[in-house]
Amino acid sequence: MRSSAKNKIRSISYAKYGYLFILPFFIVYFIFQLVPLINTFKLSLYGNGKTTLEYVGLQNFKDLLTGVGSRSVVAQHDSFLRVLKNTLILWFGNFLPQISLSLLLAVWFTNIRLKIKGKTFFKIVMYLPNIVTAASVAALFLQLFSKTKYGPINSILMSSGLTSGPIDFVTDKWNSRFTIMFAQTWMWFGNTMIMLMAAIMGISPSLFEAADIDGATGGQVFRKITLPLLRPMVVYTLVTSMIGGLQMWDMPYLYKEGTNFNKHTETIAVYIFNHFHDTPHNYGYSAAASVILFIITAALGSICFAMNVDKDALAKKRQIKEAKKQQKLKTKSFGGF
Amino acid sequence: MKNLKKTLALVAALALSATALYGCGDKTESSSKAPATTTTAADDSKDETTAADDSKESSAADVAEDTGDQLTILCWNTDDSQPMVDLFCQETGTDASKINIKSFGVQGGQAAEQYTAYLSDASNDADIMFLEADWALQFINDDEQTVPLSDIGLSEGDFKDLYPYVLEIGKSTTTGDLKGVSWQSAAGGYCYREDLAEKYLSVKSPEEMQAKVADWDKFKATAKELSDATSGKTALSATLGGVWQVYSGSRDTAWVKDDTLVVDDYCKNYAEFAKELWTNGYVTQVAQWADEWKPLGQTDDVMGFFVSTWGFGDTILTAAAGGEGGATYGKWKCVVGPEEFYWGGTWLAPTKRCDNPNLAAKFIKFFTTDADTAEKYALSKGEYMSNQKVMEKIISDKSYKGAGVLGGQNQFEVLNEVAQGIDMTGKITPYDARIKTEFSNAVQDYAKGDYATVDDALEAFKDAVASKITDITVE
Repeated sequence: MRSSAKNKIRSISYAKYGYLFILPFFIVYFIFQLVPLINTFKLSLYGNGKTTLEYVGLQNFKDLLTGVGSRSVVAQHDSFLRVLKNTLILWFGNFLPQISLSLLLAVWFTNIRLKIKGKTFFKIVMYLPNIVTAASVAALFLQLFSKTKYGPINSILMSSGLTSGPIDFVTDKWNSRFTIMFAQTWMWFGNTMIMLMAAIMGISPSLFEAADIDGATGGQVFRKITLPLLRPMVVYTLVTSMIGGLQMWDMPYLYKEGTNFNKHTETIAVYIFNHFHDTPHNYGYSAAASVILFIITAALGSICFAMNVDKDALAKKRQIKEAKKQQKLKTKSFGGF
Repeated sequence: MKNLKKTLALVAALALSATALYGCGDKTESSSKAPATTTTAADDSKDETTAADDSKESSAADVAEDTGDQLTILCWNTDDSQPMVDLFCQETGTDASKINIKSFGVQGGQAAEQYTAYLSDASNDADIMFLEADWALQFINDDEQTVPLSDIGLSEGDFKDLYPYVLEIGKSTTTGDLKGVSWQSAAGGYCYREDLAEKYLSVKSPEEMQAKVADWDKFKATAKELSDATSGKTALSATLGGVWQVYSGSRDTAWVKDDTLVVDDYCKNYAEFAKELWTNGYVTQVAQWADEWKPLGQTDDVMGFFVSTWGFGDTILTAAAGGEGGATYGKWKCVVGPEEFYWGGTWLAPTKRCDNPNLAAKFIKFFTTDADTAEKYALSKGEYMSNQKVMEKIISDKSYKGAGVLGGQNQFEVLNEVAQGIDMTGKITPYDARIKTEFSNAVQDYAKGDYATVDDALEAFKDAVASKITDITVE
């Protein structure tokens, strides 16, 4: 006969506490994420302005993607393409310098042979911009790059005789884009650097030592050891940066002159926000643009993940399968005897 | 230790669920409040009947009895509504619990969305709505949301003392009914630096200055004179946006006719005018509300700002002068300028679901037609009221000394003149705010040189309007 104490212990299930503890997250997720998400899909099938309550099917998507129809539709299509282009330009323009700079710094900081003094200090200083909210960064850059002659950057440039008049960093097409790219890079390279460093330090030191003993140069070590083993982290950075970049909203929204939006730096997210909030409300178009953005992000994300699949592991799997097949065939043929 | 862990986990879980339920807080609060107010309403039933009697006397129209417990006022913040309700309760002896200020705590520009969401639930109470000039027509034209003021016993004749333009904006553009009325007037004038004007233009009084900027041709000529005298250093007006704020009032047709955007010579003229101002440095290249905008007032780069009633304080002009005791504080003067214009303002409109029509009417009258109480409010809040008689009395009584930034001038005298001159008859459409913004942006880009010709700029403007306003046709 089992003792009652033993029985009791057996029936204790800790799982329910686990579920209880994660329940708040799911409630929050359901109310504030899932419901709006589903609602966005629904809204994208309804009209704009006065026709917000009319079901229009896929008309919004057709308008945004093909632009065949009235002037309003053509203009909608054009502005959608424009913001899409802006988004890609701004993302590339901040991702490329960001990843190269962080990779370089990460390699330097983790290199045992380079004895950099005050590593921790630099790491903290480089990570700091990431702690500042984008709103403050935008305000800071607006002040620094003020387009009048009183702006700090402009007054330095002018007093040093590099330019005769103030340069317009805020509304000019490329100047404004470069300023935003620079701000984004500045904000995020520290974060990326820390992640890459973590990944590099995760690589077995024996590999580096072996390379050292074999007399590999710094470049060779980087190309043949660091980079290939870093790939998962680089892909992770690529995916997160891409999602963040495609949804870039804060800097482009806030880095503008007064209340005027700069059409050269208007991203999809800003387009969605403005079409949603400005009266008359274009709920249909902004929801459709959100859905398109969602599809683009999902597609690009999947491609990145597909790229990340370890080819060696795949080949090995295939080999094992092949071997098993052969084995089976062999046994079969044996059986046939 | 075990207990500590458990407590920590519990606290964490509670904190999370508390945030989850935070959004619902408002509702539970109001539902728990409801029974309490019913009791107070019962206590105050005497008050209610007297209030109803009062308004019956003055209005001949048949108005329904007040059945609601509370007068609910929808607004975006309590900057105006709270002082208004306080004064109203104090002066009329209305119990404060009878008025519920439903503030959404957002900026004026975002309130329309909040209202729509709130009103979509038919059980939500609303009696009076605060409407901002930019989007007031969205609700005023909607007969499902607002009712004519005559339904609560107020006829257009009751408001004969108000500046005419204030009533014009409160009218539905579809039916012509007067559905909203503002207690304030946001008329504006041209404020200039007295010292600079004397130095460079040898102007000694506001009258002489007004003569120099009386119309747009004179404005341009004076800008040239100023620019020549300072070798291009000083601009007559701070921003192109400010000029547009005023110039847009001179348009003599509506922007939208028969649901079609009207682009005419007026647009071309302004674009050319703007380009001339911009390229010659008659305005600075800074935009309105940019960080650099207000500090310009402390430099000699700018001689003037276009400012409306609410802009004399820290919102614009006082801040531009560097605050009280700032570099140019007290050196400014105000004149009518090239054009009478208004800039903003808040309108009051009774809702369709209004269940306290008599109290709502009383509230609206208190701040508009009742001269005594309107004057009290004007003096207590420093507000420029929409009631012309009240403002003229305040001016002649000299009970208001003028904004300090103007160094002894009373801007009310100028603004009274401006407010009478504003004519908005037949020029209002629900899309004005959006169209004017898009036009201003296109013109600014043209002035900057982004477009080669005026026609290119106008095409860009039309495209912008077409993509933002899908309800109208753009040719």
